[in-house]
Amino acid sequence: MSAAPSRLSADQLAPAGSPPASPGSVAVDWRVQSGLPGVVWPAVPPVPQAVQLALLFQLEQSQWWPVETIVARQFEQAHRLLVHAQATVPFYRERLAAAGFSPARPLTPEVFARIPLLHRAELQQRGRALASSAPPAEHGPLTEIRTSGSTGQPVTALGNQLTAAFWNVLTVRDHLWHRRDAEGTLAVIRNTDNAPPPDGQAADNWGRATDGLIRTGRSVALHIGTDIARQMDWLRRIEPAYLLSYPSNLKALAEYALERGIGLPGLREIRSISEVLGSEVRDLCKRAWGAPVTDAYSANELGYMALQCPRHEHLHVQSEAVLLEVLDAAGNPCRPGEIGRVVVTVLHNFAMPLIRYEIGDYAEVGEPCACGRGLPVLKRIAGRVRNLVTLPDGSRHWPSFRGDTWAHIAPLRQLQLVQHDRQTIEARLVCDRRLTESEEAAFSKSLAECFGHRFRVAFTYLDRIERSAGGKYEDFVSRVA
Amino acid sequence: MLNWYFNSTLPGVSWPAVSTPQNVTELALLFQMEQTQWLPADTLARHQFEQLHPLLAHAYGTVPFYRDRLAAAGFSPNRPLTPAVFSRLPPLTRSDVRQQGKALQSRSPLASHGPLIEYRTAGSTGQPLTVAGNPLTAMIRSVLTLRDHLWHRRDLGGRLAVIRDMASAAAPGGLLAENWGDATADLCRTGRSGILHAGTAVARQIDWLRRFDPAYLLTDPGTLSALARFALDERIALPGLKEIRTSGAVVTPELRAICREAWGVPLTDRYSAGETGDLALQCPDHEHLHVQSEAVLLEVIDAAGNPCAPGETGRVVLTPLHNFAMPLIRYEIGDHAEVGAPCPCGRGLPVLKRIGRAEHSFPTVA
Repeated sequence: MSAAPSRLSADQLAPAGSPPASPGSVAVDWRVQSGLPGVVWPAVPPVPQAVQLALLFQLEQSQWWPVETIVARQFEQAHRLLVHAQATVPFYRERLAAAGFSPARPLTPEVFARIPLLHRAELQQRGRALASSAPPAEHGPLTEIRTSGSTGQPVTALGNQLTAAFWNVLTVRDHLWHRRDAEGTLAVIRNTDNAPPPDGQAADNWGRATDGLIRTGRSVALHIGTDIARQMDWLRRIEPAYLLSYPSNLKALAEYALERGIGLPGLREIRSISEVLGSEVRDLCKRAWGAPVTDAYSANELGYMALQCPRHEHLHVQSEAVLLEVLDAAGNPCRPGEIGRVVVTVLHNFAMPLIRYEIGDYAEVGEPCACGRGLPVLKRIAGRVRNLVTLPDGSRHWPSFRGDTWAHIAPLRQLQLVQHDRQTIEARLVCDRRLTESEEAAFSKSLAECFGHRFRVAFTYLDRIERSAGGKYEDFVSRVA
Repeated sequence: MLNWYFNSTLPGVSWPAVSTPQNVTELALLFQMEQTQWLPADTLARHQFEQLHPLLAHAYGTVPFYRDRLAAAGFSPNRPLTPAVFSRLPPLTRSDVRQQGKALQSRSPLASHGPLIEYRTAGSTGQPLTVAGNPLTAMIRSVLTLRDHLWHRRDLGGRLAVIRDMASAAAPGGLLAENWGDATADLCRTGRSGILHAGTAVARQIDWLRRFDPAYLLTDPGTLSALARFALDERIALPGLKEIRTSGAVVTPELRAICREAWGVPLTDRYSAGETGDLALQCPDHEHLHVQSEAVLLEVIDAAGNPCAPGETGRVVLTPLHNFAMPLIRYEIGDHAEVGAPCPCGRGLPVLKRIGRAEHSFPTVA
C-alpha cells in the first residue's frame, strides 16, 4: 500500500501535455498596440504585427504537442523548403536528388538523414552559391546577415522579412515564457555600436521584436568593451529590471559586485547570450543580486535555436523554426546524455536555404522535459570544436573549470587558456603580480586535474585579455587541428 | 492535444501558418485572449473601461439618442470614464431599441470597421428586432466561437451535426457542408458539418444522427431533451459522439444527466444572443459559464440598479465593447442570471449560472 501523495505541484495537477494549472502566474498583462481606430482592448494590430501574434498563438499550442506530432509538421514544412531549394539553388539540386528526395513524395526522416551536411567552411567559401535564384517576393526583400563568428572569419548569409519575423516571434516567446514585465527597463551590455560610456545609447522600446507590437519600457545599451567599474556605475544609474549580456561579462560584473557589496534592487532576471553559460555564472549572479539567469542559444545566420525552459535550466529547441539535430561522429542522432554536433535546418529561409548546416557547436541531448512540452531538450551547449582539448593520445573533450578553482591558489583577475600543441597549454593571466614559482606549480597541478593530463604550462602575463572581434570571450581555445 | 491545421496562404510556408489579414487578425485576438482570460477580475474591468471610453465617445459624438444620456450621467470625451459615471447611465430597454430602430446607428460609422451589416433577431418575446454590426463585430463573434472550440479542446477534424429551426434543412438528408461554418471555414481545416431541421420527428432525427455519425452535436435544450429520452428508451447509442453543445435556453442538471446516461458524453452550454453573439461560454473545468469580458461588459443588477453579489439573481445588462455601428450601451436584454463566485479554475472572467428569460423565469426543460 503506497503512502498518501504529498502535495502535488501545479505541473502534476495538469494532464500531461497541457499548460500548467497555476493560473496566477500564467498571464502577462502586455499592452498590445492597436492599429484600428476606436479599438484599444483587445488590440487589433496592423497586419504585420497581427502575423507575429498569429504565429505566437500557434506556438502557444504547438509547444505542448507530442514530439512525434511536432516532427511530422516539421517534415511537412521541410518538404516545402527542399522543393524550393532543389528548384532554385543549383548547389542543392544534386545533393537532394542523390539523397532520394523527390518533390512528388513526402519527405521521410530516412531521406533527410542522407542529405550531406553543409559545413561552415563551405558556407564561407561558396557564399552566394547557396542563394536562391527565385526567393518568393511574398517573403519580403532580402537582407544580408553578416556574422563575424568567433573565429573572426565572416560568414555571409541571406535572410528576408520572413526570417526576421521568426526572429522577432521567438524573442517575444522568450519574454512570454519568462513572464517578463514589459514595462520594465532593459539594460543591454554587448558589442553594440554607438553605445559608449558613460551613458551608452537609449531607446524607448526593447528593440525590433517588440517595437510597434507591444508597449515596453525603455532599453539602454552599453558597449561590452567598457571597463567593469563603469559598467557597474551605469547599471546603478539605469536601475534595470532586466540585464542582457554575455556570461563572461556577467561573471566579471557579479564578482565585482560581490567584492564591494553592490546590489541592483529591482533587477528581476538576467538574460545570457552568445557564450556557453555554466553553473558558476548562475551561482555568482544569484549570490550577487538574487537574480536568476535565463539562457538562449542563437546564431545570426540561423536565428534562435533554443530557449531556456520556463521551469528548468536546460533549453528547448525551437522546433517550429528550426529542425535541429544533434549527431554523433557516425552521423546518427545522439541519445539523452550524449554530446554531439549541432546540425540545423532553418525551416523558413527561402532566401538562402540552410539545410543540415553544421554550425560548429556541440550540445548534450537532454531527456524529455518534465514541464510537458514536446520541444526537444538540449541539456547544455558544450562548446565549439575549438573549445575541445586534445590529449596526446588524440582523445578530446571539453574541459570545464570553475573560476573558483584557482581562487585559493593565486589572485587572478582574468584567465584564458590556449592549447598550442598536444603537449603545451599557455596560461594567459591578468593579475596584480606575477605568480610565485610554487603558485605556478600549484596552478599547473590544478590544471592537470581539470584536463585529465599534465600538460606543460607556459605562463604569459598580460595587462588585459581582449575579447574576440565579435565581442565574445572564451575561457579555453585549442589551436590543435 | 489541440492539433489544429491552420490554412497558410504564404507560398512555401505550411507550418506554422501565415494566412490572410482576416485570419491573422483573428489569431492575434485569440493570442491576447489566451492571456487575458487569466487576468484578475479588477484588471479585466480596468481594461474594459479603457475600451468603453472610445465607444462612449463615439456614441456621444455620432448617435444623438445617446448624447444627452451620456452628458446627464457626467460623461465627457475628454475625461477618463469612471464606473460611477457609467452606472449612472439609464439602461437601454428592448422597447427603446425597437422604437429607436436605425436612430441608434452611428451617423458617422468608422470606415475601418467595415460596412454596416444588419441582423434581424427574433427576440424572446417573438417580436423581431433589427440590430446592426459590421465586419469587426462579426470577427469578434467568430473569435468567441474559436475560443469555445479551444476551451473544450475540440477536434476540428470531426463531424459537426447541428439540429435547429431551419425548414430548408429537411429530413432525410438535411443540409451538408464541407466545413464547420463561417467561423472556421477559411481559417483552418475542419471536418464536414450537417444541419437538420429541428421540426423533424424525433425518430427521424435519431436516424439522421446515426447515419451522419457526428463527433459533436449542437442543438437547443428542448430538442436535446426529446432526443436523449428517445435514445434512452430505445437504447440507441451514438458511438462517435464526443460532446453535445447547447444554446438558446436553460440547461438543467437533469438534462446533463440524461445525456450522460444516454450517450456517455458531456454537455457544453453557452449564453448567446442574436443582438450580440456569445456572451458567456462554459468553463473548461466546471459546468457554469464565464462572461466573455474581452467582448462585452455584462452587468447583473438588482431592482435598485446595484450590482448583484455571488448567489444573487438579477437583470442582465450588456455593453458590447466594439460595436461602433450601432452602440448598445447598458442594454437590458430581458434576461436574468445568477452571479457565481470566482471560479476555482483561476480565470478572472466573471461567473454566471442559470440564465433565464424574464417571461419564463427559468423554464425547466428536463
